[in-house]
Amino acid sequence: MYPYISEDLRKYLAVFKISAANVFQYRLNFLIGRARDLILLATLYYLWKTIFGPAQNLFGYTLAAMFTYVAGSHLARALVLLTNTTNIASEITGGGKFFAYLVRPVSYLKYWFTVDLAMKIIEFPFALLEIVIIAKFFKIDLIFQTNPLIILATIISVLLALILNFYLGYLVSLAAFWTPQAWGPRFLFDLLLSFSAGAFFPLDVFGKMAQTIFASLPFYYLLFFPINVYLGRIAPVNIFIGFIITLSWVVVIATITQFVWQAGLRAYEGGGI
Amino acid sequence: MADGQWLMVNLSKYFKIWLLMAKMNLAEQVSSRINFVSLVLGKFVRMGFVFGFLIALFTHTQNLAGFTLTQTLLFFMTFNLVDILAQLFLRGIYWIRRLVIQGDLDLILTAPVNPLFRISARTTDFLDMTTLVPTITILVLVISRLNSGLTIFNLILYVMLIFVGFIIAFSIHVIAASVAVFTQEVDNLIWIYRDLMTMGRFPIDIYAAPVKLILTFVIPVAVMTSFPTKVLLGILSPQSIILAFIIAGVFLVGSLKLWNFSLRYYTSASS
Repeated sequence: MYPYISEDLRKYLAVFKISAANVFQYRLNFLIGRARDLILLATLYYLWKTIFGPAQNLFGYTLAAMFTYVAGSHLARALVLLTNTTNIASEITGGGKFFAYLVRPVSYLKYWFTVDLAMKIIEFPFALLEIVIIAKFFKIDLIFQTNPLIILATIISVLLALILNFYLGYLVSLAAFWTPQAWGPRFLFDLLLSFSAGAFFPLDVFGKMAQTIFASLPFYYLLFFPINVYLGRIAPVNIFIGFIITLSWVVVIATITQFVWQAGLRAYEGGGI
Repeated sequence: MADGQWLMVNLSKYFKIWLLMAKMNLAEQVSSRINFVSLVLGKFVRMGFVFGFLIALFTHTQNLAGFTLTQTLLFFMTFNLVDILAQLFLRGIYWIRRLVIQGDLDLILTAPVNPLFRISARTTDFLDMTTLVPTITILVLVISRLNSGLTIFNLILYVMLIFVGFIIAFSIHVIAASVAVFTQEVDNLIWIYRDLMTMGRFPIDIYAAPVKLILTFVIPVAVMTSFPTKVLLGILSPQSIILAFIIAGVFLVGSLKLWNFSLRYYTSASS
């Protein structure tokens, strides 16, 4: 069927196709999800429009830059923050399903990365469509970046963010090897991550000290950093430093993940097999 | 038995049932200590971030739709109070889909207790109970910082409109439960309500006129969150106060009629 691709890639292509089909299996859920997104975007539009009032500039953003931030954050939520790794914990604790993966010729990490990727690729055009609908409906001015270098830097920062977010979600889910009560900590982690990444409000709104704390966390590079790269608010040298920091976070989290995975397998009791 | 005595006996019976189910639920929630602590912390984080955002916002701006920081915080904390009360007492309705699909609704319909009460009260969310105390504490602090002349009369009306907000929340949950009986689908409807409810975090005045109308008459989030705040600030007209009671009445009666109607279509599958 795909004669020119490797056996390994073929397996994950099959996982990709099944995951994509799963998204459309629950069409009503999918459509309702779109409606919920539009409600959130409309609320943020009204909020920022009222906050700005006649002001030309707030927190270093023009109104157009702020709306672009909201739009960028919506797209980044679909492309970076959206993840299926929340299901890993229930698989590990929920009986023998996890064990089945161990005896299959697939990497558990690559499997979930492919599942995530399928969901993101499907969600992204819809998130884009929602932005177009809201922008047209409210006649919102958005900033369209034309500098090819900045566009390239944005793409790199988004790709790094996507990998970093996957490893973070995967690592937290592995807590299920030691406790069946993993979904509460995951809820707390996701909330902290969303807020600290700037998913709802730009982090510049907060004071200098809070911003320093946010910048020292990996979450900062998931959303706030890529959007500000796109908006041209970060100097080229700082973009480069940002890439190095994000990459370092990826290496650190991936190494910890590898260690925790091995320790988790040793602790795994295979309940429910 | 005299009417008053009958009412007291019933209230006492229902309170005992609620207490029993609440205790069982608390025992279940506390047995998962890590989840319990994490979820409570999560709720505080969510509230704390928006609270922090509003405070940070007002270091750069003088007002939000004409409201000062204290007044805006009052809107936000009132939203939290109504939302937490609804979550605390109505969480059980979220699980009605399972009852309908598995046919377990039969057991509830045949028991000598009001089915809607039984369904709502089967899950009293103590996670929300833990957030209720700090919410009320912060609310009292915010109210004490209001500069406008606060009167006992406005305070009584505030409490009454919070109750009105709860009645509307209850009615919306009953509508969702009725839809669940018809379609075996409830999750999405509840989540859309939850999203619309979050629009009430901020003063309703930030929205455009058509949105305000929808949030007042169709999904009355404004009546649930902004009306109580405005009455406390002394800026809600008497007509709007009457309107709030009328809307709550219409929603309550309409939702109960819909519930009774939906039960005719309950097929008792799998039982």
